Amino acid sequence: MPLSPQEMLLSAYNLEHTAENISALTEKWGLDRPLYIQYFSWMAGLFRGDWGRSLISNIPIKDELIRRLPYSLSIGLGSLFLTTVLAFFMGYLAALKGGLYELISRLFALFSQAIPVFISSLFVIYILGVSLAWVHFFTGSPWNGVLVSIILLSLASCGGLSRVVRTHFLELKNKSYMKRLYAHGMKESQLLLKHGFKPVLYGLSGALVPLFSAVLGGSSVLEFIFGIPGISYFLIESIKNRDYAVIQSYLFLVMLWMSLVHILFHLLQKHLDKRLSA
Amino acid sequence: MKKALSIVVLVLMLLSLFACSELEELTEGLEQDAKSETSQEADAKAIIVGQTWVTGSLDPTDGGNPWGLTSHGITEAVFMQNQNGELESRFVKSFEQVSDLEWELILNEDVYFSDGSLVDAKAFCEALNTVSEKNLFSDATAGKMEFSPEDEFRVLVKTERKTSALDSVLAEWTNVIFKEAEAGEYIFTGPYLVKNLDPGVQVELVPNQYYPNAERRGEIIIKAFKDVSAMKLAFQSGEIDMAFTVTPEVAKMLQDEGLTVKAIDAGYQYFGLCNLEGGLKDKALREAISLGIRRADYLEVLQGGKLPTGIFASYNPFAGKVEVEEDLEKAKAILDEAGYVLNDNGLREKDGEVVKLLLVTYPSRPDLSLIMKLMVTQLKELGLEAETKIVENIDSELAEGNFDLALYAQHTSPTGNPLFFFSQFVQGQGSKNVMHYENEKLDQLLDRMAELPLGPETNELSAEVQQIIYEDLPLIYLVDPLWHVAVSERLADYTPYCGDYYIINDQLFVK
Repeated sequence: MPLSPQEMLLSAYNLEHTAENISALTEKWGLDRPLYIQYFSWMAGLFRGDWGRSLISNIPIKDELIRRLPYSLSIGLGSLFLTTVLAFFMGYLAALKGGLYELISRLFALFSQAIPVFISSLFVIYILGVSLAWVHFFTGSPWNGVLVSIILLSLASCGGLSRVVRTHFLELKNKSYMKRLYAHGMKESQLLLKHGFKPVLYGLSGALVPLFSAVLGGSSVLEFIFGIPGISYFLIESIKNRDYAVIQSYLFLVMLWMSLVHILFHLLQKHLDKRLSA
Repeated sequence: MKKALSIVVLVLMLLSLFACSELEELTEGLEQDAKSETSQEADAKAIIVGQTWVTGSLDPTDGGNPWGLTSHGITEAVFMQNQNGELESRFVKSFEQVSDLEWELILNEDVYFSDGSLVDAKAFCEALNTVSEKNLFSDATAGKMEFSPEDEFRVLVKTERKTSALDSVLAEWTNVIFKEAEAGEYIFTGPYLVKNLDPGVQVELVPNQYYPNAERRGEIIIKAFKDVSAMKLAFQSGEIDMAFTVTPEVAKMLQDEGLTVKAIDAGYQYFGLCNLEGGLKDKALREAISLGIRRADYLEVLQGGKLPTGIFASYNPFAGKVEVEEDLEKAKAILDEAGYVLNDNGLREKDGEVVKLLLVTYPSRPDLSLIMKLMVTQLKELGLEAETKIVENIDSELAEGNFDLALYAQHTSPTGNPLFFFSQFVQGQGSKNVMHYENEKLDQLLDRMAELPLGPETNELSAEVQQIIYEDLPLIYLVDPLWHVAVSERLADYTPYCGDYYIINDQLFVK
């Protein structure tokens, strides 16, 4: 990035970009040291539990991330969970019954592409907050915004995933062992759920893994709009201000998070498909 | 399979419970709101202010915190601007220069911290010595400063570098008065004190009982909004009493709905920086642009503002007295005379080359992008082709000279001293003189100004400098803008001033 954090800070406070001011900040932040020393010093701090301080606001980064984590995790995990449940049953019904359910699944898939969440969220605020005045989104509890964000994000993502589920169920229906069970007189609805849910969940879990990367930092638009003090909100501000200390800590946190997600999903997939354990 | 279904049903039930508990909370919240609204009808409700940021810390010695704390009405700089742009102080009764590097201050005897203790010379010096020691930004103008109490209300100030206007130096936002109660806890002197801070998100303020007229003030909540549409909706729903600030389009929409939107002097000025080593080297071209643009169009699209009289907002005593001339035909004649001929496509050519200008601005001041769009059309009427570029890092683009005309905004007088702007932008060695402008006479006038205390003489010199700038055109005056602030009925009498420097000031109360 072409502009330095020193210049960003000086601009933010209408201070002269003199060589003296820039070098004083450089020295204060330790940016005059060789890059490898800065990096090892940062790593050493991490192992001691010291994630450093924001270059702009000087607040301790770890405390700030932990303080904001519950909001972002609630939105991210809540919406992923609701998305999964909705997508599974919408896809199942679309594959099983077609017709109206197929149409609903398609409509939701289209909805997610046609109406971005920043539009739908403003619409919800206008209806519930301004016209009906039922909910205080901005001066009430931030969890009001969190709840609406979970619902909006789920509605925006479940359509696409329901198509994945539907495709898996349709493929299953044509498998020879399913046809044999069907020929034995089992109901198709029971057949798909009882013998089909594991392979479908396996397929769905593969589609879900990338979405987990958005749990921390992927709900920035909604956090901005509802004023939810989550991690995404903090991250975007830090990127804007060239606050490398925060950006680096965030990337480290995401790396930890995604490692954990991959391990958990690997275990889940092993559970769903016993062949992986062999 | 049944087990799986049971799990799903259970989870859905849990989810419903969660949703219900949230709804209950909402309902309880609404009921509580309704109750508290009733009970607060007799007392004033907290004033809720929406703005784009909230301070992240209450440490007045660190980085830019003191600027934010003063803007929130929590701290006070030693000198602050009044609504007429003049410097005044609650702390300092009088001051006098005793030598090149020494000043004597006499303090007022009736100023208190929010805990009721007196701001005497000892407390005053302790605060400013701590600032000088810990906040490197405080050294920017006069170098390190040392404050020593001479007696209970007399202070001796030693500066590292010579200055002729100590009041202006002490008006810099770093120089706030505070005392440390215990490690990490601070006591201030502003009209409000902090009841609760959610860093970067929300701050709740209560009146400082030791600030004059405390009985008039009530509670204030400042809430950060990062999305302008959300702030507009919050204002429309009545959740906030003040939206600081709204864009011209939003201002119009709110006004059309019968809501109150006030226009305030921004303090920030909009101007065009000319690259004198690039496409605007030729003075005739700069003159033609200044004459050929129609600033009234800019005011119309910005829903307000004033024609510039110089580089400072018109309320400042050191504002310019320039009468900006606009005359399209005269502009065309200047271009013709200077050898810029119109080709068959209606574009100006010089020495066989089509004149093409690069206009640059940045997105964080959306007003500038609006002006730039209009300017392109206006330049076309002169036969000048313009390419536009919006960059995020305007300062680095300017430093690298990647522009012909850069549209820029700056608070030109944050310390009530015109030299703040001049020394950076138009003095020969100025740190922001990206235009590469040099004028010996102007430099001499600025050196003369630096020798004088602020007053009528510096005001006259400031006007003279602004006239020279208008004649030489290293920068083109564009707009003395107004900002739009939406206020509820109960704040209809409140008008913030000095841009975003004192958003919450001692006049913010329900009248």
